[in-house]
Amino acid sequence: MTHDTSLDFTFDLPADAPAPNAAPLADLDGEGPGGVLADGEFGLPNPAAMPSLAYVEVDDRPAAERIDALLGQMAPHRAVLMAVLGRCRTPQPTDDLYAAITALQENHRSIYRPENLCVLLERAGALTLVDAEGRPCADDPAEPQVVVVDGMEYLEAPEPEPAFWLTTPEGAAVVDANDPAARLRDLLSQDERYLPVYHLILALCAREGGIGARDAGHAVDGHPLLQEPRFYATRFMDHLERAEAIAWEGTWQATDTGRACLAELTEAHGDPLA
Amino acid sequence: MTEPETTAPDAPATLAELAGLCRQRAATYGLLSRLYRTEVDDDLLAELHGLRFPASTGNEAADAGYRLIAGYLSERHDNALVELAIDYAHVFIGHGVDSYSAAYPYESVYTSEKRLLMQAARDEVLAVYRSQGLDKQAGWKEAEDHVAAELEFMQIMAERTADALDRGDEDAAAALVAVQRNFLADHLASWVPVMTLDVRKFANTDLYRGLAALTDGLLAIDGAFLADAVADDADDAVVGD
Repeated sequence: MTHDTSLDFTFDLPADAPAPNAAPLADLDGEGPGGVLADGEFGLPNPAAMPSLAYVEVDDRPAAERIDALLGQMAPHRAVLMAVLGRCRTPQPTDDLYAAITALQENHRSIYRPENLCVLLERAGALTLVDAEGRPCADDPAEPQVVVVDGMEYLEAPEPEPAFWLTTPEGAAVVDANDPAARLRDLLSQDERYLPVYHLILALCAREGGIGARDAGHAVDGHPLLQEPRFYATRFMDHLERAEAIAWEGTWQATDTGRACLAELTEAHGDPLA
Repeated sequence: MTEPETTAPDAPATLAELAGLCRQRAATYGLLSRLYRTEVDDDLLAELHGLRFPASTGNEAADAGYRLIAGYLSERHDNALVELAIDYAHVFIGHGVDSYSAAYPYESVYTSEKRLLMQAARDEVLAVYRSQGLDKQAGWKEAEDHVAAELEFMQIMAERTADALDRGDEDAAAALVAVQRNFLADHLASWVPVMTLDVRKFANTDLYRGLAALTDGLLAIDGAFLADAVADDADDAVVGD
């Protein structure tokens, strides 16, 4: 009689064999491997084992580089950011500026509050907050006031002093260097094949009331140039928006830059809507 | 030989004075609860700017907390709401998966072996809430042992105590004081001081650092007050036997 010896199970363990499933167990007195749980009945966290997090805020890149990076990272908000920098060439009271940004964002819903945008520009070195005398506000932090009421002393936060946002020299340089007409010319030059499409979109956007996104698609998507490879109006409208040739104001509308370019194209190639 | 000086004992507080004190306690618990519940919003920030904070309470931690909060509010923070929202997430929500990445504001986390939610502590506080006819609202999606809920429970109990005192119902007030004293001793005081240590570790704004210190101080002050109140009631009961 033979038996299968391929499965070498045995239940007769040598005396010095480790116990099955032996694993290092923490000493019930609490002196285990050491780490996350402190000694004690309730297993409260060990403060010494807490992770230490570094909160890094320092960005030592030059302001010009930081501003460029910010405008690149926030391309959909570029127009608003540039408008803020242009407006703040003269000191703007904070509340007035926030109201102006809110108006600019009326057709550009954003999670960024006006204060966020200004602080982002400040961190990039494009804006600075100054007091009425033009001194940086950060140099003079306010302290709580002590007031006495019914014989008891209380701490009160004082009313903030009026403050103004002011464009820095680096921020002003970015505004001065901004040349949407040149960017639009570059775009049309690089994408020359689709010049008729851009011309058509500009003409549609320059009409009174502009054009809605869906209507633009209906008017443009069937253009022969967009069939192979297949492109849609939104691609070209996105490029035109980034070149500040069109802007969304409830409908897509041509900007001054876009209208100037449209006039040149129409003179050269005729009216695309004719 | 001069007559020994005798000083008259402090006159016991009137019921109206005690009611007023309980309403102040309720307001304080309400403020703490709100600061822990969610991020600071426009309304709360405006309210904080309008508050006066006691300069000296006699408790070092509470004084430090008030100073830090008042100091933060005194500085110019144009982006305060976003800054505080970031800090709230950093302190109470965190971004890790090892259960040590934030000051998780739940009693179960600090009193359970594996730092889990919805443990025995939650069941216990829920039983206490229900014994007082309270339960969490449908819109509150967090566990009942969230620090904001426990602080709000103390707020409600303090308000009920004030109402009882206004009615002249001392027995009801005494019972409510006992509930508060037991809840503070058995729950809040047993874990919140450890949580506030974590808050200090993770907070980057003085508002939340101040909140941690203020919480410690106010729980200590209120614990002493409630212990005295319960002891006074016990003395009165003995004298009346």
